Amino acid sequence: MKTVSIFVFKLNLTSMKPLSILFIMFVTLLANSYVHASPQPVNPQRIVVAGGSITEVIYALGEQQRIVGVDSTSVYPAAATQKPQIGYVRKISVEGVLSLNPDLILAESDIGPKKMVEQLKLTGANLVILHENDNFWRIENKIEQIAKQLNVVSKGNMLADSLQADRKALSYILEQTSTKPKVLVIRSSKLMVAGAETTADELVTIAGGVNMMAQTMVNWQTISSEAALALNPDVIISMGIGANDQQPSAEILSVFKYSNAIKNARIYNFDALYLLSMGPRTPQAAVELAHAFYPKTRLPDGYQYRFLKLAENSTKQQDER
Amino acid sequence: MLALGNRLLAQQRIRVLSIPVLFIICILVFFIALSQGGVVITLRETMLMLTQPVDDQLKHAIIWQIRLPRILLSMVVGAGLATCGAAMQALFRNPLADPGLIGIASGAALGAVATIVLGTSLFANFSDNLGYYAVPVGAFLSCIAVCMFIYRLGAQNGRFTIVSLLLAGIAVNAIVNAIIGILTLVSNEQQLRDLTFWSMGSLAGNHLAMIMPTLGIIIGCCIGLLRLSKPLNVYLLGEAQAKHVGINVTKLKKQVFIYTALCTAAAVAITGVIGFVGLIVPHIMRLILGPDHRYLLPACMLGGALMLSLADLFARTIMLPAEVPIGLITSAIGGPFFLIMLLKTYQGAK
Repeated sequence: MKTVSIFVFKLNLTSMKPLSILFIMFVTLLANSYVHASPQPVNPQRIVVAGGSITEVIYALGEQQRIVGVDSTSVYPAAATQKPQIGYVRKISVEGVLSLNPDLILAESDIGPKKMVEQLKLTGANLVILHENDNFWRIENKIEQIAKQLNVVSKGNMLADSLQADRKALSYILEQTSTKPKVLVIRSSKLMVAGAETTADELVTIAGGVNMMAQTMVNWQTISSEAALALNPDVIISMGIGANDQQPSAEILSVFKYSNAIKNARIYNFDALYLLSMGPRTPQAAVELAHAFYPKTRLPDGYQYRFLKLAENSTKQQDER
Repeated sequence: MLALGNRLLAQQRIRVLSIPVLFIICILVFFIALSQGGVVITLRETMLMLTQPVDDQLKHAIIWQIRLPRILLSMVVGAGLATCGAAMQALFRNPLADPGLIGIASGAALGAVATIVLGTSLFANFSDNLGYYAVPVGAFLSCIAVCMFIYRLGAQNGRFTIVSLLLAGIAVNAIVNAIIGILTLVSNEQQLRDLTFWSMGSLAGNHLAMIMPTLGIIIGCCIGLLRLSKPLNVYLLGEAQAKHVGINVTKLKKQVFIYTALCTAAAVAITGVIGFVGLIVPHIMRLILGPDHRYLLPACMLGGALMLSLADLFARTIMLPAEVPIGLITSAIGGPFFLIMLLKTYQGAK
């Protein structure tokens, strides 16, 4: 009954003066917004993930049945794409996330837009943002934090420890090296190269190469084919996303025809997510990258690639064809 | 003669009825939109929650923090865009005119792009002080600046002709778009993503305090435009004719310009560019009601509110839990609907 009377009251008001009703409503609304924080669940069972590397870690921990929603950057493992989608990590929908009724929202630091994050916090949702973890040396830290949130600390420690083998293999390779190769990181589909301040640049440096574009540009930028002709990289790393975007385009192969990289058949395809996601596979990818830079070096005895190797030498493959 | 009289009478009746009917539909849509969304809340619960405090904190937050600001914003922005579209079409006496002609879209885009791209370097102070208000405030300021520039150029030697306004608008738009292009070129991947999303438009994520200034400006400007409906009717006869009837045409044009600029700037700054509302709603209303601005402008206000809030309702519910960009929906609903209206009019004319 009460609702009906309010409704009538509003109608009366508005039919007199259309705009004033809206105005009166805003003022009453402002007063009505209050919130309190909800207690943190000890062992979350409904997790929404915003950030591909977190999804990867949770799958590696074997806890994927607790994920109820993922963002669009969560494409590895492929099974993750079957989960309900909450949109792109920097463009989440607050109500969409809440409709999944999560008891934990795990997000990478680039979750956004900021105002959505504020709204999410206001609703009292249990939002955990993993800050300052998009760094090659802090992957273990990220894994441990996630494992702690999921209440599977020992599994997390095991996964983090397993990365030590990769770290050791990387330094083992780098100990055997002398001169650093000049590396060009390029998108497989077009003449877009990685400059300074990119994750690709960081990885190249860590794997013992020199990113030849780091001096001249920042971020990923498109270069002209003439500028590309003038470059003479020793190694070309061609980045694709997913399996069907792997081979470097014919344009790239022809532009770099006279470079050392193509002459010596040193152009490698890497899956961008495998190498750059800063997830549990990244240390192994760095080992593979270093081995691509220094093919004559030996890997430590007993070292094995645990994940499917995703890098391949594309020139060899083409010869085989 | 008799038949003509009957038709006029019928149209008069539609005109008189249309505004209260649209208004009631708006109210209904408001409550329906409030009760629909990813989290299931019944209409009954929604009504209860509006009138008295409830224990369920999640639902309370969803209604008061998420849905209500969003629906209010969609209604007011829709009303503002549609009214300004109608006013622009009257000002240019061209059914295809839209506020983009006087630099709204490009001006706001320049501000938004500059804040997103240079927010960490050149405008770091600005961005730090304003937080997430930085992009809307930047877009609004730059939009007003670009419009003022076009206004000054259009108002050379004391006259304010439509042709000079149009030409100035085209030139300034080209320059501004070039600057946007340069900024886009130097942006990094993330910034590029952000500005793509900005240009697609979104009504999400604004809390009540944040939308208040926008609502105030838009409502104020709409009232201002409504008061100009009689002189705009006369203006439709032609500038010279309007002058002879005793209307200060230059002043009228300036007023329409300023109200439109302020209103759309406030809307676009907070939501990004939402196309089509300003074009389609005035046309549909004109097909139903005829060109009399005394009825057309208020009907556009209500129709715009209705269209955008419905479009937003679709945008946030059809692809749950993700969201569809609102601009896609306005075009996808608006386009076919508009076509049907057009075809019907042609058939009626036969």
